[in-house]
Amino acid sequence: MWDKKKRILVVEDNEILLSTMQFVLLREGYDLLLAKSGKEALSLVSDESIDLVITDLALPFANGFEIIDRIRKSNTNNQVPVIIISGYRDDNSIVEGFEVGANDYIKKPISPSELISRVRLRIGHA
Amino acid sequence: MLSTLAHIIHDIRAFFEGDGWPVLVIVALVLSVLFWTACLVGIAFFYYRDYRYRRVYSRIYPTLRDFIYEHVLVENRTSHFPVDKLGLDLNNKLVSKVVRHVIHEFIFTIGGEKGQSMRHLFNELGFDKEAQYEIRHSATNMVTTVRSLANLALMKVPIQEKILDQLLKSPQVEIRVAASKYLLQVEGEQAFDRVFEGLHGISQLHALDIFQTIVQGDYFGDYAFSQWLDMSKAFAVNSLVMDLMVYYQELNEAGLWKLIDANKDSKTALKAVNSLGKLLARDSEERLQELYMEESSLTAKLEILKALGRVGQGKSIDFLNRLFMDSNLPLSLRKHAYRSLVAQKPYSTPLLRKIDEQGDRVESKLIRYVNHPMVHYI
Repeated sequence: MWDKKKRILVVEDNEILLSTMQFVLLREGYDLLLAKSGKEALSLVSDESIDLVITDLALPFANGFEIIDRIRKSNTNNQVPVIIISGYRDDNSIVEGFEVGANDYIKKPISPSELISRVRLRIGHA
Repeated sequence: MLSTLAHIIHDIRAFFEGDGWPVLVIVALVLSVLFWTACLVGIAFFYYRDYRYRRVYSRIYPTLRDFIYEHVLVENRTSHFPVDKLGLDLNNKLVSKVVRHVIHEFIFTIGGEKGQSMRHLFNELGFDKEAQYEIRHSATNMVTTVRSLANLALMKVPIQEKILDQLLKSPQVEIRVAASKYLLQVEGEQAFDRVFEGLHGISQLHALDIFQTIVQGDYFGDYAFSQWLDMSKAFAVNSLVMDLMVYYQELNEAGLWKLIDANKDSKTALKAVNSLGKLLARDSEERLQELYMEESSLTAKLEILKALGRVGQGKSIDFLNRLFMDSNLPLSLRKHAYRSLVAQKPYSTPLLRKIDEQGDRVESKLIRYVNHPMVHYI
Protein backbone atom coordinates (compact mmCIF):
# COMPACT_ATOMS: atom_id res chain seq x y z
CA MET A 1 0.00 0.00 0.00
CA TRP A 2 1.13 3.53 -0.77
CA ASP A 3 1.14 6.13 1.98
CA LYS A 4 -1.62 8.65 1.58
CA LYS A 5 -0.32 12.06 0.52
CA LYS A 6 -0.58 14.86 3.10
CA ARG A 7 -3.35 17.24 2.13
CA ILE A 8 -3.06 21.02 2.54
CA LEU A 9 -5.87 23.55 2.21
CA VAL A 10 -4.54 26.86 0.83
CA VAL A 11 -6.85 29.86 1.25
CA GLU A 12 -5.69 32.92 -0.67
CA ASP A 13 -7.48 35.43 -2.88
CA ASN A 14 -4.38 36.76 -4.63
CA GLU A 15 -4.09 34.80 -7.88
CA ILE A 16 -0.29 35.13 -8.11
CA LEU A 17 0.40 34.05 -4.54
CA LEU A 18 -2.10 31.21 -4.77
CA SER A 19 -0.57 29.82 -7.96
CA THR A 20 2.97 30.25 -6.58
CA MET A 21 2.12 28.33 -3.41
CA GLN A 22 0.34 25.72 -5.51
CA PHE A 23 3.44 25.31 -7.69
CA VAL A 24 5.85 25.15 -4.76
CA LEU A 25 3.80 22.74 -2.64
CA LEU A 26 2.84 20.43 -5.52
CA ARG A 27 6.53 20.12 -6.38
CA GLU A 28 7.13 18.95 -2.84
CA GLY A 29 4.51 16.25 -3.38
CA TYR A 30 1.66 17.52 -1.20
CA ASP A 31 -1.95 17.13 -2.19
CA LEU A 32 -3.70 20.50 -2.37
CA LEU A 33 -7.15 21.97 -1.94
CA LEU A 34 -7.48 25.58 -3.05
CA ALA A 35 -9.96 28.20 -1.91
CA LYS A 36 -10.20 31.84 -2.91
CA SER A 37 -12.65 32.97 -0.23
CA GLY A 38 -13.49 32.29 3.39
CA LYS A 39 -16.81 30.74 2.39
CA GLU A 40 -15.17 28.19 0.06
CA ALA A 41 -12.58 27.39 2.72
CA LEU A 42 -15.17 26.73 5.41
CA SER A 43 -17.15 24.36 3.22
CA LEU A 44 -13.95 22.43 2.36
CA VAL A 45 -12.96 22.23 6.02
CA SER A 46 -16.29 20.67 6.95
CA ASP A 47 -16.35 18.20 4.02
CA GLU A 48 -12.75 17.09 3.50
CA SER A 49 -10.00 15.50 5.51
CA ILE A 50 -7.14 18.02 5.83
CA ASP A 51 -3.64 17.85 7.36
CA LEU A 52 -2.74 21.55 7.28
CA VAL A 53 -4.41 24.88 6.53
CA ILE A 54 -2.49 27.82 5.08
CA THR A 55 -4.61 30.95 5.09
CA ASP A 56 -4.41 34.63 4.31
CA LEU A 57 -6.09 37.07 6.70
CA ALA A 58 -7.77 39.54 4.36
CA LEU A 59 -10.28 37.41 2.47
CA PRO A 60 -13.72 37.95 1.00
CA PHE A 61 -16.81 36.67 2.93
CA ALA A 62 -14.93 35.47 6.05
CA ASN A 63 -11.50 36.68 7.11
CA GLY A 64 -8.63 34.45 8.24
CA PHE A 65 -9.36 34.93 11.95
CA GLU A 66 -12.96 33.80 11.45
CA ILE A 67 -11.82 30.77 9.44
CA ILE A 68 -9.41 29.65 12.18
CA ASP A 69 -12.00 30.29 14.87
CA ARG A 70 -14.61 28.20 12.98
CA ILE A 71 -12.05 25.42 12.38
CA ARG A 72 -11.19 25.27 16.09
CA LYS A 73 -14.87 25.14 17.06
CA SER A 74 -15.87 22.58 14.41
CA ASN A 75 -16.31 18.86 14.94
CA THR A 76 -14.05 17.83 12.06
CA ASN A 77 -10.47 18.99 11.53
CA ASN A 78 -10.45 21.04 14.76
CA GLN A 79 -6.92 19.91 15.61
CA VAL A 80 -5.47 20.69 12.19
CA PRO A 81 -2.36 22.95 12.25
CA VAL A 82 -2.90 26.39 10.73
CA ILE A 83 -0.30 28.72 9.20
CA ILE A 84 -1.25 32.33 8.55
CA ILE A 85 0.31 34.12 5.58
CA SER A 86 -0.38 37.81 5.71
CA GLY A 87 0.75 41.24 4.65
CA TYR A 88 -0.25 42.57 8.10
CA ARG A 89 3.03 43.08 9.88
CA ASP A 90 1.75 44.66 13.10
CA ASP A 91 1.97 42.96 16.49
CA ASN A 92 -1.80 43.02 17.03
CA SER A 93 -2.53 40.89 13.96
CA ILE A 94 0.19 38.39 14.87
CA VAL A 95 -0.99 38.12 18.49
CA GLU A 96 -4.65 37.86 17.46
CA GLY A 97 -3.71 35.14 14.95
CA PHE A 98 -2.09 33.04 17.66
CA GLU A 99 -4.93 33.77 20.09
CA VAL A 100 -7.58 32.41 17.75
CA GLY A 101 -5.52 29.25 17.34
CA ALA A 102 -2.98 29.63 14.54
CA ASN A 103 0.24 27.62 14.88
CA ASP A 104 2.49 29.82 12.77
CA TYR A 105 2.57 33.25 11.09
CA ILE A 106 4.47 34.10 7.91
CA LYS A 107 4.74 37.70 6.72
CA LYS A 108 4.43 38.55 3.03
CA PRO A 109 6.36 38.58 0.75
CA ILE A 110 6.98 34.89 1.30
CA SER A 111 10.17 33.02 0.64
CA PRO A 112 9.29 29.67 -1.01
CA SER A 113 12.01 27.78 0.85
CA GLU A 114 10.85 29.23 4.18
CA LEU A 115 7.28 28.21 3.39
CA ILE A 116 8.34 24.62 2.65
CA SER A 117 10.39 24.31 5.81
CA ARG A 118 7.56 25.64 7.97
CA VAL A 119 5.09 23.26 6.33
CA ARG A 120 7.48 20.34 6.93
CA LEU A 121 7.87 21.41 10.54
CA ARG A 122 4.11 21.07 11.03
CA ILE A 123 3.23 17.97 9.02
CA GLY A 124 6.51 16.49 7.84
CA HIS A 125 7.36 15.50 4.27
CA ALA A 126 4.63 14.75 1.78
CA MET B 1 -44.64 102.76 -13.53
CA LEU B 2 -47.56 100.43 -14.07
CA SER B 3 -46.99 100.31 -17.79
CA THR B 4 -43.31 99.34 -17.24
CA LEU B 5 -44.37 96.48 -14.97
CA ALA B 6 -46.96 95.33 -17.48
CA HIS B 7 -44.29 95.44 -20.16
CA ILE B 8 -41.91 93.22 -18.14
CA ILE B 9 -44.68 90.69 -17.42
CA HIS B 10 -45.54 90.64 -21.10
CA ASP B 11 -41.90 89.98 -22.01
CA ILE B 12 -41.66 87.08 -19.59
CA ARG B 13 -44.89 85.52 -20.89
CA ALA B 14 -43.74 85.98 -24.46
CA PHE B 15 -40.45 84.24 -23.65
CA PHE B 16 -42.14 81.16 -22.19
CA GLU B 17 -45.07 81.02 -24.56
CA GLY B 18 -43.43 81.74 -27.85
CA ASP B 19 -40.56 83.96 -28.98
CA GLY B 20 -37.42 82.99 -27.01
CA TRP B 21 -38.38 79.44 -26.09
CA PRO B 22 -37.38 77.44 -29.20
CA VAL B 23 -33.86 78.93 -29.29
CA LEU B 24 -33.31 78.14 -25.62
CA VAL B 25 -34.61 74.61 -26.07
CA ILE B 26 -32.39 74.00 -29.08
CA VAL B 27 -29.28 75.26 -27.29
CA ALA B 28 -30.09 73.15 -24.23
CA LEU B 29 -30.72 70.07 -26.31
CA VAL B 30 -27.51 70.45 -28.30
CA LEU B 31 -25.47 70.98 -25.13
CA SER B 32 -27.15 68.03 -23.47
CA VAL B 33 -26.49 65.75 -26.45
CA LEU B 34 -22.85 66.88 -26.59
CA PHE B 35 -22.43 66.32 -22.85
CA TRP B 36 -23.91 62.80 -22.87
CA THR B 37 -22.00 61.87 -26.03
CA ALA B 38 -18.74 62.97 -24.38
CA CYS B 39 -19.62 60.94 -21.29
CA LEU B 40 -20.45 57.84 -23.32
CA VAL B 41 -17.29 58.17 -25.42
CA GLY B 42 -15.24 58.55 -22.24
CA ILE B 43 -16.83 55.48 -20.64
CA ALA B 44 -16.45 53.45 -23.86
CA PHE B 45 -12.80 54.50 -24.14
CA PHE B 46 -12.18 53.50 -20.50
CA TYR B 47 -13.77 50.08 -21.01
CA TYR B 48 -11.93 49.58 -24.31
CA ARG B 49 -8.57 50.30 -22.64
CA ASP B 50 -9.46 47.99 -19.78
CA TYR B 51 -10.57 45.29 -22.24
CA ARG B 52 -7.29 45.58 -24.22
CA TYR B 53 -5.26 45.44 -21.01
CA ARG B 54 -7.11 42.34 -19.81
CA ARG B 55 -6.73 40.63 -23.18
CA VAL B 56 -2.99 41.23 -23.27
CA TYR B 57 -2.70 40.31 -19.58
CA SER B 58 -4.49 36.97 -20.07
CA ARG B 59 -2.12 36.20 -22.98
CA ILE B 60 1.11 37.23 -21.24
CA TYR B 61 0.50 36.21 -17.63
CA PRO B 62 0.64 32.38 -18.14
CA THR B 63 3.80 32.65 -20.27
CA LEU B 64 5.55 34.93 -17.81
CA ARG B 65 4.39 32.94 -14.77
CA ASP B 66 5.71 29.67 -16.24
CA PHE B 67 8.97 31.40 -17.18
CA ILE B 68 9.39 32.65 -13.61
CA TYR B 69 8.54 29.26 -12.09
CA GLU B 70 10.92 27.46 -14.42
CA HIS B 71 13.91 29.76 -14.16
CA VAL B 72 13.55 31.37 -10.72
CA LEU B 73 11.91 28.66 -8.62
CA VAL B 74 13.14 25.47 -10.29
CA GLU B 75 16.51 26.33 -11.82
CA ASN B 76 17.30 28.82 -9.05
CA ARG B 77 18.77 31.29 -11.51
CA THR B 78 19.73 34.65 -10.08
CA SER B 79 20.78 36.28 -13.33
CA HIS B 80 21.30 35.68 -17.06
CA PHE B 81 17.70 34.76 -17.68
CA PRO B 82 16.90 33.58 -21.23
CA VAL B 83 14.50 36.47 -21.77
CA ASP B 84 14.55 35.94 -25.56
CA LYS B 85 12.57 32.75 -25.00
CA LEU B 86 9.65 34.82 -23.77
CA GLY B 87 9.12 36.18 -27.27
CA LEU B 88 7.51 39.36 -26.01
CA ASP B 89 7.43 42.58 -27.98
CA LEU B 90 8.53 44.93 -25.24
CA ASN B 91 8.53 47.86 -27.64
CA ASN B 92 4.76 47.64 -27.54
CA LYS B 93 3.74 49.99 -24.72
CA LEU B 94 0.82 47.87 -23.56
CA VAL B 95 2.86 44.65 -23.49
CA SER B 96 5.62 46.43 -21.62
CA LYS B 97 3.09 47.81 -19.09
CA VAL B 98 1.54 44.38 -18.49
CA VAL B 99 4.94 42.68 -18.06
CA ARG B 100 5.98 45.37 -15.59
CA HIS B 101 2.78 44.94 -13.59
CA VAL B 102 3.08 41.14 -13.47
CA ILE B 103 6.70 41.29 -12.31
CA HIS B 104 5.79 43.92 -9.70
CA GLU B 105 3.09 41.59 -8.40
CA PHE B 106 5.59 38.74 -8.18
CA ILE B 107 8.11 40.93 -6.36
CA PHE B 108 5.45 41.92 -3.81
CA THR B 109 4.52 38.24 -3.41
CA ILE B 110 7.84 36.40 -3.41
CA GLY B 111 10.48 37.46 -0.94
CA GLY B 112 13.94 36.32 0.10
CA GLU B 113 16.55 35.37 -2.49
CA LYS B 114 13.90 34.58 -5.06
CA GLY B 115 12.55 38.10 -4.71
CA GLN B 116 16.04 39.40 -5.43
CA SER B 117 16.20 37.19 -8.54
CA MET B 118 12.89 38.71 -9.66
CA ARG B 119 14.49 42.16 -9.41
CA HIS B 120 17.35 40.99 -11.63
CA LEU B 121 14.85 39.62 -14.13
CA PHE B 122 13.11 43.00 -14.18
CA ASN B 123 16.41 44.68 -14.98
CA GLU B 124 17.39 42.11 -17.61
CA LEU B 125 14.13 42.80 -19.41
CA GLY B 126 15.43 46.36 -19.77
CA PHE B 127 12.93 48.11 -17.52
CA ASP B 128 15.66 49.68 -15.43
CA LYS B 129 17.10 51.29 -18.55
CA GLU B 130 13.66 52.44 -19.63
CA ALA B 131 13.01 54.04 -16.23
CA GLN B 132 16.49 55.61 -16.28
CA TYR B 133 15.76 56.99 -19.75
CA GLU B 134 12.42 58.38 -18.61
CA ILE B 135 13.85 60.24 -15.63
CA ARG B 136 16.53 61.75 -17.87
CA HIS B 137 14.28 62.75 -20.73
CA SER B 138 10.89 63.30 -19.14
CA ALA B 139 12.07 65.35 -16.19
CA THR B 140 9.27 67.84 -16.82
CA ASN B 141 6.60 65.16 -17.06
CA MET B 142 5.67 64.69 -13.43
CA VAL B 143 3.65 61.47 -13.75
CA THR B 144 6.30 59.64 -15.83
CA THR B 145 9.15 60.74 -13.59
CA VAL B 146 7.37 59.79 -10.37
CA ARG B 147 6.44 56.37 -11.80
CA SER B 148 9.99 55.74 -13.01
CA LEU B 149 11.46 56.71 -9.66
CA ALA B 150 9.07 54.32 -7.90
CA ASN B 151 10.11 51.54 -10.30
CA LEU B 152 13.81 52.17 -9.76
CA ALA B 153 13.33 52.29 -5.99
CA LEU B 154 11.48 48.99 -6.04
CA MET B 155 14.28 47.38 -8.03
CA LYS B 156 16.99 49.16 -6.00
CA VAL B 157 18.60 50.42 -9.20
CA PRO B 158 21.19 53.20 -8.69
CA ILE B 159 20.64 56.52 -10.47
CA GLN B 160 23.45 58.70 -11.73
CA GLU B 161 24.33 61.27 -9.06
CA LYS B 162 23.91 64.29 -11.32
CA ILE B 163 20.42 63.24 -12.40
CA LEU B 164 19.35 62.47 -8.84
CA ASP B 165 20.55 65.87 -7.72
CA GLN B 166 18.49 67.54 -10.43
CA LEU B 167 15.41 65.58 -9.38
CA LEU B 168 15.91 66.50 -5.73
CA LYS B 169 16.05 70.15 -6.74
CA SER B 170 13.15 69.96 -9.19
CA PRO B 171 10.71 72.89 -9.09
CA GLN B 172 7.85 70.35 -8.90
CA VAL B 173 7.26 69.22 -5.33
CA GLU B 174 5.88 65.77 -6.40
CA ILE B 175 9.18 65.01 -8.17
CA ARG B 176 11.24 66.19 -5.17
CA VAL B 177 9.18 63.97 -2.86
CA ALA B 178 9.45 60.96 -5.23
CA ALA B 179 13.23 61.47 -5.44
CA SER B 180 13.43 61.69 -1.64
CA LYS B 181 11.43 58.47 -1.30
CA TYR B 182 13.71 56.81 -3.86
CA LEU B 183 16.77 57.83 -1.84
CA LEU B 184 15.24 56.61 1.42
CA GLN B 185 14.27 53.25 -0.08
CA VAL B 186 17.60 52.65 -1.80
CA GLU B 187 20.09 54.18 0.63
CA GLY B 188 18.10 54.05 3.90
CA GLU B 189 19.67 55.91 6.80
CA GLN B 190 22.52 57.24 4.64
CA ALA B 191 20.02 59.43 2.81
CA PHE B 192 18.52 61.20 5.84
CA ASP B 193 20.74 64.31 5.71
CA ARG B 194 20.25 64.79 2.01
CA VAL B 195 16.49 64.28 2.16
CA PHE B 196 15.90 66.64 5.09
CA GLU B 197 18.14 69.30 3.59
CA GLY B 198 15.95 69.43 0.50
CA LEU B 199 12.58 69.37 2.24
CA HIS B 200 10.59 72.49 1.48
CA GLY B 201 7.20 73.32 0.08
CA ILE B 202 5.75 69.93 0.96
CA SER B 203 2.15 69.37 2.01
CA GLN B 204 1.05 67.30 5.00
CA LEU B 205 0.23 64.41 2.66
CA HIS B 206 3.78 64.49 1.29
CA ALA B 207 5.08 64.57 4.87
CA LEU B 208 2.99 61.51 5.71
CA ASP B 209 4.31 59.75 2.60
CA ILE B 210 7.92 60.41 3.64
CA PHE B 211 7.21 59.43 7.25
CA GLN B 212 5.80 56.08 6.11
CA THR B 213 8.73 55.45 3.79
CA ILE B 214 11.15 55.96 6.70
CA VAL B 215 9.29 53.89 9.28
CA GLN B 216 8.65 51.04 6.83
CA GLY B 217 12.38 50.71 6.28
CA ASP B 218 14.63 48.74 8.56
CA TYR B 219 16.01 51.81 10.34
CA PHE B 220 16.40 51.47 14.12
CA GLY B 221 19.38 53.75 14.72
CA ASP B 222 19.88 56.90 16.73
CA TYR B 223 19.77 59.59 14.06
CA ALA B 224 19.04 63.06 15.49
CA PHE B 225 15.92 64.07 13.55
CA SER B 226 15.50 67.06 15.87
CA GLN B 227 18.43 68.84 14.18
CA TRP B 228 15.97 69.58 11.35
CA LEU B 229 13.46 71.40 13.54
CA ASP B 230 13.41 74.87 12.06
CA MET B 231 11.03 77.63 13.08
CA SER B 232 11.40 79.28 9.68
CA LYS B 233 10.08 76.18 7.90
CA ALA B 234 6.48 75.28 7.21
CA PHE B 235 4.28 73.26 9.56
CA ALA B 236 4.42 70.12 7.35
CA VAL B 237 8.22 69.89 7.61
CA ASN B 238 8.35 70.46 11.38
CA SER B 239 5.40 68.14 11.87
CA LEU B 240 7.21 65.37 9.96
CA VAL B 241 10.32 65.85 12.09
CA MET B 242 8.29 65.78 15.32
CA ASP B 243 6.41 62.65 14.22
CA LEU B 244 9.75 60.93 13.60
CA MET B 245 11.09 62.14 16.96
CA VAL B 246 8.06 60.61 18.69
CA TYR B 247 8.22 57.39 16.63
CA TYR B 248 11.91 56.86 17.41
CA GLN B 249 11.61 58.35 20.92
CA GLU B 250 14.19 61.06 20.40
CA LEU B 251 13.70 63.59 23.18
CA ASN B 252 15.08 67.05 22.53
CA GLU B 253 13.25 69.39 24.87
CA ALA B 254 15.33 72.45 24.00
CA GLY B 255 14.59 72.06 20.30
CA LEU B 256 10.85 71.69 20.87
CA TRP B 257 10.75 74.67 23.27
CA LYS B 258 12.45 76.83 20.66
CA LEU B 259 9.59 76.02 18.29
CA ILE B 260 6.99 76.75 20.98
CA ASP B 261 8.55 80.08 21.92
CA ALA B 262 8.83 81.16 18.31
CA ASN B 263 5.36 80.11 17.19
CA LYS B 264 3.07 80.57 20.18
CA ASP B 265 -0.57 79.72 19.39
CA SER B 266 0.33 78.24 16.02
CA LYS B 267 -0.24 74.67 14.80
CA THR B 268 3.51 74.06 15.05
CA ALA B 269 3.60 75.11 18.72
CA LEU B 270 0.61 72.89 19.55
CA LYS B 271 2.28 69.94 17.86
CA ALA B 272 5.49 70.65 19.78
CA VAL B 273 3.55 70.64 23.08
CA ASN B 274 1.90 67.39 22.04
CA SER B 275 5.30 65.89 21.21
CA LEU B 276 6.70 66.94 24.61
CA GLY B 277 3.91 64.93 26.22
CA LYS B 278 4.41 61.90 24.01
CA LEU B 279 8.16 62.00 24.58
CA LEU B 280 7.61 62.11 28.37
CA ALA B 281 9.60 65.32 28.73
CA ARG B 282 9.94 65.30 32.53
CA ASP B 283 11.99 68.48 32.73
CA SER B 284 9.29 70.43 30.91
CA GLU B 285 6.47 70.04 33.44
CA GLU B 286 7.01 73.38 35.17
CA ARG B 287 7.53 75.21 31.92
CA LEU B 288 4.32 73.72 30.56
CA GLN B 289 2.47 75.03 33.62
CA GLU B 290 3.92 78.50 33.03
CA LEU B 291 2.93 78.32 29.40
CA TYR B 292 -0.60 77.39 30.42
CA MET B 293 -0.86 80.55 32.50
CA GLU B 294 0.44 82.71 29.65
CA GLU B 295 -1.78 81.18 26.99
CA SER B 296 -5.21 82.57 26.25
CA SER B 297 -6.33 80.09 23.60
CA LEU B 298 -8.53 77.24 24.81
CA THR B 299 -7.07 74.78 22.27
CA ALA B 300 -3.53 75.51 23.45
CA LYS B 301 -4.56 75.15 27.10
CA LEU B 302 -6.17 71.75 26.37
CA GLU B 303 -3.05 70.57 24.56
CA ILE B 304 -0.89 71.60 27.51
CA LEU B 305 -3.14 69.76 29.98
CA LYS B 306 -2.95 66.61 27.85
CA ALA B 307 0.84 66.89 27.70
CA LEU B 308 1.01 67.22 31.49
CA GLY B 309 -1.08 64.07 31.83
CA ARG B 310 1.14 62.17 29.42
CA VAL B 311 4.37 63.18 31.14
CA GLY B 312 2.70 62.04 34.37
CA GLN B 313 5.54 62.27 36.91
CA GLY B 314 3.44 63.79 39.70
CA LYS B 315 5.04 67.25 39.63
CA SER B 316 1.90 68.93 38.32
CA ILE B 317 -0.67 67.29 40.61
CA ASP B 318 -1.36 70.45 42.67
CA PHE B 319 -1.60 72.56 39.54
CA LEU B 320 -4.07 70.18 37.89
CA ASN B 321 -6.10 69.88 41.08
CA ARG B 322 -6.45 73.66 41.32
CA LEU B 323 -7.72 73.77 37.76
CA PHE B 324 -10.18 70.95 38.33
CA MET B 325 -11.59 72.63 41.43
CA ASP B 326 -11.92 76.04 39.78
CA SER B 327 -15.62 76.32 39.02
CA ASN B 328 -15.03 79.45 36.92
CA LEU B 329 -13.12 77.51 34.28
CA PRO B 330 -14.79 76.03 31.19
CA LEU B 331 -15.91 72.42 31.73
CA SER B 332 -13.64 71.12 28.95
CA LEU B 333 -10.56 72.40 30.81
CA ARG B 334 -11.74 70.94 34.12
CA LYS B 335 -12.45 67.57 32.48
CA HIS B 336 -8.98 67.44 30.93
CA ALA B 337 -7.37 68.54 34.19
CA TYR B 338 -9.08 65.62 35.96
CA ARG B 339 -8.17 63.20 33.17
CA SER B 340 -4.54 64.25 33.44
CA LEU B 341 -4.71 63.72 37.19
CA VAL B 342 -5.94 60.18 36.55
CA ALA B 343 -3.03 59.72 34.13
CA GLN B 344 -0.62 60.62 36.96
CA LYS B 345 -1.48 57.54 39.01
CA PRO B 346 -0.07 56.25 41.32
CA TYR B 347 1.29 59.68 42.38
CA SER B 348 -2.21 61.14 42.31
CA THR B 349 -4.11 58.21 43.85
CA PRO B 350 -4.59 59.75 47.38
CA LEU B 351 -5.78 63.02 45.88
CA LEU B 352 -8.19 61.29 43.51
CA ARG B 353 -9.66 59.36 46.42
CA LYS B 354 -10.11 62.61 48.35
CA ILE B 355 -11.78 64.34 45.41
CA ASP B 356 -14.07 61.38 44.99
CA GLU B 357 -15.17 61.53 48.61
CA GLN B 358 -15.47 65.30 48.98
CA GLY B 359 -16.44 66.52 45.52
CA ASP B 360 -19.75 68.32 45.07
CA ARG B 361 -22.45 67.38 42.57
CA VAL B 362 -20.86 69.09 39.56
CA GLU B 363 -17.46 67.53 40.24
CA SER B 364 -18.98 64.08 40.70
CA LYS B 365 -20.74 64.44 37.35
CA LEU B 366 -17.47 65.48 35.72
CA ILE B 367 -15.65 62.52 37.24
CA ARG B 368 -18.34 60.11 36.07
CA TYR B 369 -18.10 61.58 32.59
CA VAL B 370 -14.29 61.37 32.42
CA ASN B 371 -14.21 57.84 33.81
CA HIS B 372 -16.89 56.55 31.46
CA PRO B 373 -15.38 53.80 29.27
CA MET B 374 -16.90 55.32 26.13
CA VAL B 375 -15.07 58.64 26.65
CA HIS B 376 -11.73 58.60 24.95
CA TYR B 377 -8.83 60.77 25.92
CA ILE B 378 -7.21 61.83 22.69
